[in-house]
Amino acid sequence: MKSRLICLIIFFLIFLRASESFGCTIFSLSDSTQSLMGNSEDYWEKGYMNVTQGDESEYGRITFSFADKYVQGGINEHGLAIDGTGAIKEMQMVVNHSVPDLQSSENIVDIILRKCKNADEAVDLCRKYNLLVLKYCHIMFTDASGKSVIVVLDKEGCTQYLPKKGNYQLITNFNPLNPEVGYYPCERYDTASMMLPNLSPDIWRQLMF
Amino acid sequence: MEAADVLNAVKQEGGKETHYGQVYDCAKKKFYLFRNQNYLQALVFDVEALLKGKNYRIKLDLLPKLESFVFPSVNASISSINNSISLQAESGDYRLILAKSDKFENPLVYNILPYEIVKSSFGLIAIFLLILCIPKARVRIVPLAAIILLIVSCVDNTIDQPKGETKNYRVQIDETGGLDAGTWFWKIEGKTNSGYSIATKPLCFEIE
Repeated sequence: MKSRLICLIIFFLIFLRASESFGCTIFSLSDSTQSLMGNSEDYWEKGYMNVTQGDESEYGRITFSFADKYVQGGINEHGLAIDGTGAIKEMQMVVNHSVPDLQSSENIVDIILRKCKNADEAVDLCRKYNLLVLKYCHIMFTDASGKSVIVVLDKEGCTQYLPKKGNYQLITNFNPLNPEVGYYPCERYDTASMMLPNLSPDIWRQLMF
Repeated sequence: MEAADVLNAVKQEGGKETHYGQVYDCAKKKFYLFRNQNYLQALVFDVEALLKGKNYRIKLDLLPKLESFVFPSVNASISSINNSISLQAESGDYRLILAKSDKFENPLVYNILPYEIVKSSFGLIAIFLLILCIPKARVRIVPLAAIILLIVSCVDNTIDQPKGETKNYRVQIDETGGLDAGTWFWKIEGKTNSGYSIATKPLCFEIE
């Protein structure tokens, strides 16, 4: 009886820790001349950087992954940057039967970096598939012009493309179109959304000697 | 308050902790890589430079450890008296870029030599002077200076040089006759397989 109680407490603590530590924050920030995308990679593994040269058929890109080599995000030679955040739980998706499915293993993040120059092309490419990975995550891309788009499922499970309005856009782990699903309110989201409206798109403040 | 501050504010510890973060500068095709939850320092990569080299995959921990190289750092200082920058960094090729704007248009570029190389050149000068002085042994000041230079060049520099592959570097930035008065922006670039593709964040200083 005592050992069962201990097991129950350990399970509860592990569950509590896992739910508290859900991670990743992505934001886009721009003005008329600058375009930044920030990403915080929260995971239990350490990361890798991959440099892949382009050729006639695909663009060169620098990507980030873990040991499994699955591309988490990156930037390509045209300045198109992309990353994604994990959803709190699997979402239901409405499949469009007029376009083929793209399995999660085929990695839309890497395909966009290989094939697209900007956010408009990335949206066009996404529309050609049922992106099954959206059942598990949300993705954001930002291009050199400052255009930024979040790709996410809505409450009905349909794929939506949310363009940036104003100078910034932000996602963490809850679904912005369906926050009731979970992980909302999010402390990281609240913190970043308080800071971002007041920021100029600089990496650091200038330091003077 | 800037982009790096946002990443700093949302970092996580424990469980799924923040191992790294990036700020992609999409317009300039650069990115800033932050590691170990340190948002005051970053490795700065030029996308176009990286994509002129080879394919590779590298663990982020194995990228050059430039903590002692990225500014601001206690190991690097700029002197307003003699306009020199000294730094400690892993062995490699570095260069100083100076310009009047933070976009680094029309930059001045200085190669940065390890201090030991500069110092060892004293020895060559000394030997050259000694050879010159052989037929003029009565002029004692020159051979004396040569011998002092020779001794200085042979003194071991281990006190200043930390363990590992870290070296001391120094560059005189007024070697071409000095800089104009005003604000100067500067950064140091490090060479990789893809050329000078990593850089410190730009900083500035005033010349009066």
